[in-house]
Amino acid sequence: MNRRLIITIAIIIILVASAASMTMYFLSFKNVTFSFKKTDLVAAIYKSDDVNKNNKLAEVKNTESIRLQEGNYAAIASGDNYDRAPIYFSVNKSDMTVTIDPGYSDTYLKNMLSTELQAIKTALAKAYPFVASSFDMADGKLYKEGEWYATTLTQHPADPRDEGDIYYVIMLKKDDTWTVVGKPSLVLTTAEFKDVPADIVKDANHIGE
Amino acid sequence: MTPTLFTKHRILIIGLLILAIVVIPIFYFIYTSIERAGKTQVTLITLPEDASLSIDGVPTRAGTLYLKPGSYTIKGEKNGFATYEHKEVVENDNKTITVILSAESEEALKWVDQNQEKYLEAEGKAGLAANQEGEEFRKKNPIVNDLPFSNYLFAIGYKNDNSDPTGNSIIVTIDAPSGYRNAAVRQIRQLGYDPATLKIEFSNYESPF
Repeated sequence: MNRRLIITIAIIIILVASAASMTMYFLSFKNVTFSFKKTDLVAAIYKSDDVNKNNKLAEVKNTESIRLQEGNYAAIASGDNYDRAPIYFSVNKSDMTVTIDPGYSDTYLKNMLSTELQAIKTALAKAYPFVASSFDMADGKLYKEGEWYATTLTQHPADPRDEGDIYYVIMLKKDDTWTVVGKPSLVLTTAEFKDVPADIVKDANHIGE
Repeated sequence: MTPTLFTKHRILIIGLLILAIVVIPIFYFIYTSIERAGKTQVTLITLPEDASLSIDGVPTRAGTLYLKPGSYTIKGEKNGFATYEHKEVVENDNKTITVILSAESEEALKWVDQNQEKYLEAEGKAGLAANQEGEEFRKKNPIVNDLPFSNYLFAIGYKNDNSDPTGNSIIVTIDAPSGYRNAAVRQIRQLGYDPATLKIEFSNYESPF
């Protein structure tokens, strides 16, 4: 085989390999559309392992699409009173839509609770009139946009020297009315509280700790 | 020199060879992939080997089958042997089902006696399958590796969750006096498991709600 032929074959191999690599690189980018549940929000996009380094990849608004390479990312929403916890998502083999629906920030929810607490206590007393005499109710926590609430009810023990059982209760505000979801329970489980977002169930078990 | 059959039809023969070596296996692979998509490999072992087998009333044979995940009634019959009928749940993991018929008639007992090695082999395979299922069970319910747990205040155990037909789900049971039930739940957390993701039942307990 002469030298020219070898060089030609080598160049063809290099060109084919380069073209294949370029094609694979471009194909690894997917369209990611962001759907915002609130219109006053914008979200900053980071690599998931880069959230705290401020290497922002993009800033997106409602229904905006950007092209991202396959991998793990985080979106941090910014808007008045909203939770700035990263919303993690993975870009895989196809185009996708990421829903940005952050709840309110803890501080905002805390302030909100002070105005809701009386209505919550009234609703709970209506559902279980014996609660006031047999249990101590903690202030509890609001979740999401203030429509979910969880707290603990500590039962008065028969003997004051004993400890009382702690019950966890979840309530939901619908049409301006608070109602108890399920029954107060010694432990909240996602199997029993299927209609409650799992993150609330998991967090509520830690109230009072 | 007259051309041989090969030189005359060289292209046709090479083409047919390529077809046989490359194309047919590809088509076979595609066909079997489509045919087996969404199905699980089930190995059916029977003893005596000539016993009649059926799945949900449809006659079948021993060997490797592909079944969609679901619940099936496996039946094995042979004159002189007790009919085997058992419900088996096929999930996404490969499964081995061993249908070993028990001898009833004199003749069948004699056959069993003469084929002890076959029985030992089949029972060995059944044991292996049971071990695999046991491993899957532990993988699905890792908490069983740490249970039962007990101290002088409470006991934590588990029982089968009959609502799951696969038999692979458990209910964690807590036996604790009033005032210590939450401590038992906290213990589950200390063992490294999130109680929110489990099904938990309290023994000797009645909810005040």
